[in-house]
Amino acid sequence: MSSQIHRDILGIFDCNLSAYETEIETLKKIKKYDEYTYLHSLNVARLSVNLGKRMGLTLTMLEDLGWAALLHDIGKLHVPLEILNKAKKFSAEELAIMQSHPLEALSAFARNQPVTIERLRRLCAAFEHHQRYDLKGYPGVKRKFNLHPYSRIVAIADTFDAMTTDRIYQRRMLPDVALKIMAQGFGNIFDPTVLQAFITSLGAYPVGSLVRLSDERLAIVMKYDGNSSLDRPFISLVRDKEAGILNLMGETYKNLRIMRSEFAEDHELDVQDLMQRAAGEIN
Amino acid sequence: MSLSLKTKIFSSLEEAGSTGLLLEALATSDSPLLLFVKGMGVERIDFFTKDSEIVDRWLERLAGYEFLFLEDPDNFKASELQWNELDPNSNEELIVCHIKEAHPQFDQLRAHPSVPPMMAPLGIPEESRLKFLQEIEIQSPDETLSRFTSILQEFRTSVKSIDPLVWAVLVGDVIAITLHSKLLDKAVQIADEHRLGLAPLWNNSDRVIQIFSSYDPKGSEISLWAKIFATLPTPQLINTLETHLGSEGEPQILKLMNYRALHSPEELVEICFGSKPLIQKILLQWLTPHWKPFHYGRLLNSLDQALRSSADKDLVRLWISALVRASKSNAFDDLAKIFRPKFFRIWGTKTDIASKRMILNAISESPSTECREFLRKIRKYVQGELADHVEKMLLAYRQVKS
Repeated sequence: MSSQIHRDILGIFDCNLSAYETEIETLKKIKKYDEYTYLHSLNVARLSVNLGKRMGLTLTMLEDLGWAALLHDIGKLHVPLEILNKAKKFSAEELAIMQSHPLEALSAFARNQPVTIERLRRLCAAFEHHQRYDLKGYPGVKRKFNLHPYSRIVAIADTFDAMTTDRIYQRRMLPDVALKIMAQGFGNIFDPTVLQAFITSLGAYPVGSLVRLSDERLAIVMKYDGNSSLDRPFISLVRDKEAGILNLMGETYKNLRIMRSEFAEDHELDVQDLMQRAAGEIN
Repeated sequence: MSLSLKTKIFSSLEEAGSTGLLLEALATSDSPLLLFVKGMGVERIDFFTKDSEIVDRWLERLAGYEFLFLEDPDNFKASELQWNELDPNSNEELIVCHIKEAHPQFDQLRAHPSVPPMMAPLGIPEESRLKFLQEIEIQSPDETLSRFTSILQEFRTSVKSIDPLVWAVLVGDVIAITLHSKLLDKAVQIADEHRLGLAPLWNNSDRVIQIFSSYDPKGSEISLWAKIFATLPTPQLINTLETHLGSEGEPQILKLMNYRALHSPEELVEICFGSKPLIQKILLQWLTPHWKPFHYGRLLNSLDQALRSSADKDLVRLWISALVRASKSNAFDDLAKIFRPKFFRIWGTKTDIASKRMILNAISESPSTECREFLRKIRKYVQGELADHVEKMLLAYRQVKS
């Protein structure tokens, strides 16, 4: 299991793993306890680090941010599994337990040795990722300090991943819909600078989205480049591979618009496969 | 927003000549609220009313759901919410949301799609980006600690149910880090603010040692540094010392013990009388200047006990020093009595030769006139090897004098 975890971490950011034995042990516990939380933590770390890179964080900052994101849910180790994975509505008591997980991160932290200022810094996100930018949210506190910058990144990555991940009781949201809803939280729930950076760098229709065009054709979003606008990426038509990859910024396609995204599985399409084929044909 | 959305809904219905709004055809540019409703699995909404107030009420409730979802999508259970709008009097359904069956192909381990790359142009002003980076850069150890002490205070006031030990350990860890960062004033401040909360920590000797080993105070800092441990009871301090002799924190524990001996010697005196020999040996070293005549009786008993139950020369020596310090004249008189052949009264049993030798050795370590008088007094009572020993000691006095 360790080597898998090592690969997972190094797939997200570079670091000297031998300096993080305690953190890796904690991740191991998370993986063993609840695979969903582990995979979610990896995704949140990927999104956070990717955004950090785009925002120009140094390598040391990215390392700290990566760990902050990987460990943001350590408090869930203390939430009973039957509550963690409950499909039905929580009772008031269960909700209180569930919402105690940022606080339980304190306990998890208190059990870790040795304590260092770096570890403390990396754990800010575990305490703060459910506190809103306007300092509401939970745990409910009267803050004197703004949320730590890492917590502000992790909170956005956490919300996006939770929204776009299938649950037993809830189908995932399409990424563009999630982003549109998240935009409602500008300045109150989320740091406006970080959220704007997140949304714009993903694009209105993130890469891999299956989209319906204004002429009713289906296409896959292949990429954005430095000249792309938010809603005009490069696309590949699903039923017309001969067309190659179209840059919607091009004059030829100025009347073609993306209307919405759709679930690939509803069309029995495999997005990864389609993207690989499209990319292969170009090469 | 609500008004324009309502207008849009009604005009769409009118255009379609239907009561039903199909959400499948919504574009990304449409209302986020309707996109949210669609995202929750609603395929179609039927409006059996055109009453503006009712629609407003429904939209308001849904906007509340949207916000709840946005705040905490993980804990949002859409199936448990009221999506339809009912007539409060007749319970008749006025607005009906048709929800799709849950996604049938759910596979938890495949639930996490790979995250999309972030390759689109970063749409934030350069100055905002730099300001954000600057915010990260200014997170110095001091800043991090201030943040954490603030978090500690806030959590403590808002959360009552945390395990007191876990809480104490957490506060203790933050103090240890603060000390490690050489921020003594701040550490004292944290300890003072969490005085009561810290109490359970003192039972956790590993954590206590961690705090001790985090900082070695200079002489001038000891009185300030000692405040961190204001709630650490001396017996627990002694226990920690006993179990962590030779540890990284031992020198600092000794410094605190020394400080306490200077400032509250009576507490240490009481502990000393009730402690095990190992601890007594440590405490007696600090207590030497603090013995008073009123301690004398208990010191005599303690010496008796040490002579009877322990062959520890050091302990005997320390009790004798204490005895002499408490009352020199009484001490030599009483010690002399031990050497009388028929002496049983004070000591309960006849004192053996080994004990007498220990007493002589202890006395010989601090030569004095009283000591010489004592030797002269007892020379007539001792015989054999012990007599030789006394003579040698007296000879030494004579040589020193000549």
